[in-house]
Amino acid sequence: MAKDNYIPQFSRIDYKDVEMIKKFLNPHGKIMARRRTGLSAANQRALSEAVKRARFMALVPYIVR
Amino acid sequence: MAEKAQGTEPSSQAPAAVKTPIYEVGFHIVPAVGDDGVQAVVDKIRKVIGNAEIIAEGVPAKMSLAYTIERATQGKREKFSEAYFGWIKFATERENIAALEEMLRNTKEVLRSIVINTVREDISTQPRRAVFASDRLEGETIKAPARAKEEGGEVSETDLNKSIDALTG
Repeated sequence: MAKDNYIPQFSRIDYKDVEMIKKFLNPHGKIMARRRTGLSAANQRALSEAVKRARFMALVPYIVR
Repeated sequence: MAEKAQGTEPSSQAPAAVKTPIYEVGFHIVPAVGDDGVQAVVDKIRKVIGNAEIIAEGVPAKMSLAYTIERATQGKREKFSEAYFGWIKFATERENIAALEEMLRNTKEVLRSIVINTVREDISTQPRRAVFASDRLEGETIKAPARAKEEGGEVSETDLNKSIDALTG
């Protein structure tokens, strides 16, 4: 991930924050690996939950072909 | 862990000390209701929430969905590619959530909804400042400890053997 987009810590991530969530998705809409996002385990779990909520609410796609 | 520790204390404390859980409901309203009809649906949701404390609210705004949502109503399949998305954050007791979810399921103007347990603070992702364990080292360069200077020069064979014997025991 580019350094300017890199966020070392956030206490929580909001599922409505689509712009932020999209930074952690690859072009296919998949969640990036931890080694790519550089997040802590807890933050990666928070991200994963937020992405799944955003997908359910059709804010981000499940898959991009 | 801290919560558990608090739980072991005698419950003579006032019930006000018990925190009311914070929830957030996010919902999509079908575009057919139009700009004027949206507020009526929001009012319906707020009515079910009742006299709970409303912490924050996002006014429903029309947005295009990331994928087409299909819904079967009365034997007819409806497709939606846009909807009004709104949200309400509120504090209420856990028992009231089931009624809200039931209402959202049965309201045909609500296309899709989600109820989540959250926190009172705004959780927009503000990057946090790096935290140091102690202020002592902040802004300072850690220096290597000073070492005694080694002396060079010739060493005799016997002194060398003595030193080796001392090391090997």
